[in-house]
Amino acid sequence: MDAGLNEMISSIMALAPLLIFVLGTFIFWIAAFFLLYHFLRFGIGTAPKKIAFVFLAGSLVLFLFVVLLFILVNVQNIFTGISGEIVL
Amino acid sequence: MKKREDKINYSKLFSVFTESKESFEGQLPDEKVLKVIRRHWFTLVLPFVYVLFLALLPFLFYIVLFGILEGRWISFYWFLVSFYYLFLWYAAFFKILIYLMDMWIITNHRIIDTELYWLFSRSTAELNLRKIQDISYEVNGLFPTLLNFGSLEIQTAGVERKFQINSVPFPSEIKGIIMKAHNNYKTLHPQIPEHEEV
Repeated sequence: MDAGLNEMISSIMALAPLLIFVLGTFIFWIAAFFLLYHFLRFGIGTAPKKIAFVFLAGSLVLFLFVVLLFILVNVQNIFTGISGEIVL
Repeated sequence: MKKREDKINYSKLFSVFTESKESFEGQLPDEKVLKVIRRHWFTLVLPFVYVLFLALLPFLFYIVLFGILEGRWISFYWFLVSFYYLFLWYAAFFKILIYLMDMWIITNHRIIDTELYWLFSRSTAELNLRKIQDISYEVNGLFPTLLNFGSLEIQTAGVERKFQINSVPFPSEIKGIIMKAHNNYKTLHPQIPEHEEV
């Protein structure tokens, strides 16, 4: 039973990063689009445009980190294997 | 032979960051923007400090969880933290958006008060320069006095009796700009006497 529970937890652990990544990416970039839309459409003068640019650049950099860490988590999952022990 | 000017002026590609006009939706053809007023930057200090504190939290949690987390849980933790920072970045710029969109636009015709409450939720009120009856301002507190910002209030003859904006930088100068615009407007548009206005 312990082995079965371990396997179940391992399966969830293997899928959780993927679900979080897909859902988080989808939500974030839609929200980011809305934010940029507001900056560019309703912003008056140069300041909102500059800030929109900074936001977009920072988002891309941070998202790159998200992708790299997602790959790292997945690579570790592959090497550990689905039936790897969960150590808490 | 006619020389073709087909070179791209690359500096113009980025002109929106340096030369963007202060135009806005609903601007009249002969309407010029005299001043765009936003709240003083000091109103962003507290939210900025709060964001900074939230940015430090993952490291504090990691110190608490150090020795408990092992192996791939550490990577998973930092993966979650990376998403946390992404959304924190978004929240910070959302706060900046709300700050930037809360403004008064003073033109040679009217004053427009626009405010953004949330995404896709904003309000706009306008006041014709002729309807201004009285302008007053208040500066209360240590930081407002040192940094010279306060609240500005306009008494009007319109349906909305008061226009108010808080944390305005250099309120006395803004008051001067509005009064000058009001007097110029009355000079240029003397047709309808005030007591006959609807």
